[in-house]
Amino acid sequence: MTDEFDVVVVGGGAGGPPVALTLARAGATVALLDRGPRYTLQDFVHDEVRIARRDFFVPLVGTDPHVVVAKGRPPRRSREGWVASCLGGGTVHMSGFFYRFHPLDFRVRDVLGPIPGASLANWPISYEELQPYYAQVEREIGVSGESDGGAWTPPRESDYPLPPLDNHPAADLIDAAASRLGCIAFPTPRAILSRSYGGRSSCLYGHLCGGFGCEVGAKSSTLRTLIPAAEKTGKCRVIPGAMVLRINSSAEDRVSGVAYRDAHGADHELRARVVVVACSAIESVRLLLLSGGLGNAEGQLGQHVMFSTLSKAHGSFHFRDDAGRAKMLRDDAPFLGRSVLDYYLPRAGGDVRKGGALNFLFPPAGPIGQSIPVALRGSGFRWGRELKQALRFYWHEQKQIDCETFGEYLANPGTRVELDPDVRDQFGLPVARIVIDRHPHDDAVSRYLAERAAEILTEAGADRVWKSAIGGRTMHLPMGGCRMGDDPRSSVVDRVCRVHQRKNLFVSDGSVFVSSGGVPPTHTILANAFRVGAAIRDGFMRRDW
Amino acid sequence: MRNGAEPWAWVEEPCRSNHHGRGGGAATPRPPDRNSRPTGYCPLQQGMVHLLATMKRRSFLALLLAASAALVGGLWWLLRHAKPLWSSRGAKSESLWSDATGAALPPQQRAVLQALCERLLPDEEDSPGARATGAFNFIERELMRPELQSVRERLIRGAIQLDGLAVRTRGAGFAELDVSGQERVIAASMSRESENRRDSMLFVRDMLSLGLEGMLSDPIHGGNKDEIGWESIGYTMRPPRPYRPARSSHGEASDDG
Repeated sequence: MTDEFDVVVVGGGAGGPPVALTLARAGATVALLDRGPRYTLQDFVHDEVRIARRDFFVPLVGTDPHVVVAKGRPPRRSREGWVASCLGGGTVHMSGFFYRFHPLDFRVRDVLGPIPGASLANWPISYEELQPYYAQVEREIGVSGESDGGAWTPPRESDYPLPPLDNHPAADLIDAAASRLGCIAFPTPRAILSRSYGGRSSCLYGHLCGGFGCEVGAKSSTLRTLIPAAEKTGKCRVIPGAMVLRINSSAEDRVSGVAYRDAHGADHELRARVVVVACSAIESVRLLLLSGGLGNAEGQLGQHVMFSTLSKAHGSFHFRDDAGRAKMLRDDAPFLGRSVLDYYLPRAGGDVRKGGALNFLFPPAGPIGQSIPVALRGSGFRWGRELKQALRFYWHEQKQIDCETFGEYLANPGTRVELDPDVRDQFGLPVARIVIDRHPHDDAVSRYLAERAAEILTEAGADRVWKSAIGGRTMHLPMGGCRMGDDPRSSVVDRVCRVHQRKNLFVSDGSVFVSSGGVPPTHTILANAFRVGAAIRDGFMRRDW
Repeated sequence: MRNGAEPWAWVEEPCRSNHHGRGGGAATPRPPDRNSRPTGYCPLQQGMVHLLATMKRRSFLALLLAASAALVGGLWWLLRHAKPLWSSRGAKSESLWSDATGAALPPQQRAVLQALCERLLPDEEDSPGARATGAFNFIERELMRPELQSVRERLIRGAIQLDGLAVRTRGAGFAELDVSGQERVIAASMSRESENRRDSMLFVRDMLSLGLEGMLSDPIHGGNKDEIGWESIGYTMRPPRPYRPARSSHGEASDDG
């Protein structure tokens, strides 16, 4: 292949491969670039220290930091905002919670009305427009789940292609408790294969899952699904280790390709008729800023950045002297897998306008990941014989069930991404500076959801229940910065995610999100990227490019 | 390209071996066969056959005796030195530690940190702690990694402060105190009266996290000796276990793509 392509896609994580696959299937020549390496199954060993607690998936803070400026605090170098830097991106190490956004998430401004201090807007597209692409994602990569999740389950056109994963028997406790509280707990949809699918092995139910790559490829990452499928067309060239330094422009309203540095330090240029940016929200904004502020004519680039609110509730279920209960709780199954969506909108009045999802699960797998929270709890910690005793109790005399909550993080004018004026990365380029403000609603919704989760855990028979991370957010789920909209004065890309002022430049990752939804966004990123790919394909047929 | 007058320097192959050794794959050019030796030819083996055929019986017995004595002596020597010869596991791990390039801890602070680790995660009669699991060995190795140099500096500063507090309040360095004395100094460093309470708490938290990592990580990292850390909490680590520390290949070339 030459260095001229019909399409260059920058970013091989969640947002890039669906576009690359769609266009390669249509006969376009595609280059798919990612700055990170291409891992194989052999790389995914059970090495908790190196893989889950160090820098296996993200760049070093010393060479490629983000600078985080939380309101009222000094700037600090951080790895926050990096999801992953490898082919497949965060889909390689994700837990694979694959919920669809609810229809009201696309009309959030209409549903909630004006909220002071928030920059809410409706999406220019509806759930119905995205629905076929949600189905395509589930089919293409393999998603396991159960269709009937109660009133707040988004409308579905068919069953999931795979049945739910097997659950730990303690899921019955959550089911019954939720039911008594007037809710429905249903199997969490997962991008993990419950059966063999598409030539890939089903899940082996190992304990080290979220935060790790799957050693048998049962996790439905784009690395194992869409990227090989794109290569199989013979039209897609995948280039790992390619750090794109800038997007080149050929005219006021057109881009001409990209310049990148390979893993050996050599510089290259690729020409393309269409360029698609999908580097994850923070880095996509940074690349567009580094390329002369593409799409920033109205100062909107980097604005309306969002994350997902995150809070937790924990329940400790003691074995006690009840042999039957102890035996059930000691079951070795790794997945609890229960979700509750009944608090997507609050049931009672109050200061919370929109809620989110409860995801019941076991604590992060791995002996270190579970033991450290036993020592470090809140602002204090245990040590010495007290810690050893607590560890004995944790590991031998109880089973802990957690609940992670995901809620709407309100876009606000104080949360944005820009280029840092001081810090540069290993390539000599300014790094992304993430400025974070907090809307009071974020704290309220995270508290509200943690309280609901705690109620269910208490009802389920937990001997001790506590909450944590109230007011927290997960920067593993960045969104916004290239907001999608029909009005170029208040958005960066149009409804097919084409940059307003550029005819052949698209963005296809979470940066185009208008609101953060009440569930993790990965499924929606993939679905929207398939939609963007289809729009570009249709443009080729119309000879737009 | 090869240079020099002897491009195909002859290398004896191992006895009874018809295949090329490691590094001599199918793509490796064969040397010219100067002597037309039969496959599997071994000079030592052929020499022994010739010697035995020409030797008298008494001489043969004497040779046998000498060989037996040599064998017994060799075995005795091997048994004496068995550990350094056969314990390749440690040496293998060290050689794999190519990314641990930093300097070792200064001796004074090393002693303080080791003692602190053993107090934070004490050995008990029925439960191994930092000492039994070799957690501090893990910590020392980790602190040599380039990306943990800021943690290393923070821990050295913390050790100096803790040691200073021990000298001021108990008249001896932290590592020299008995268990009870060390526990009191740790508690005092984080008490509300402490001037450096916040720094001390961060310091102890760092040590706790590293210590637990050392107790419960794969033994290839230098801690969790004989997996007794996992055993103590009833954890079974399933395969695939790492045969070397997993390493990110950020920035390294890939053959794919």
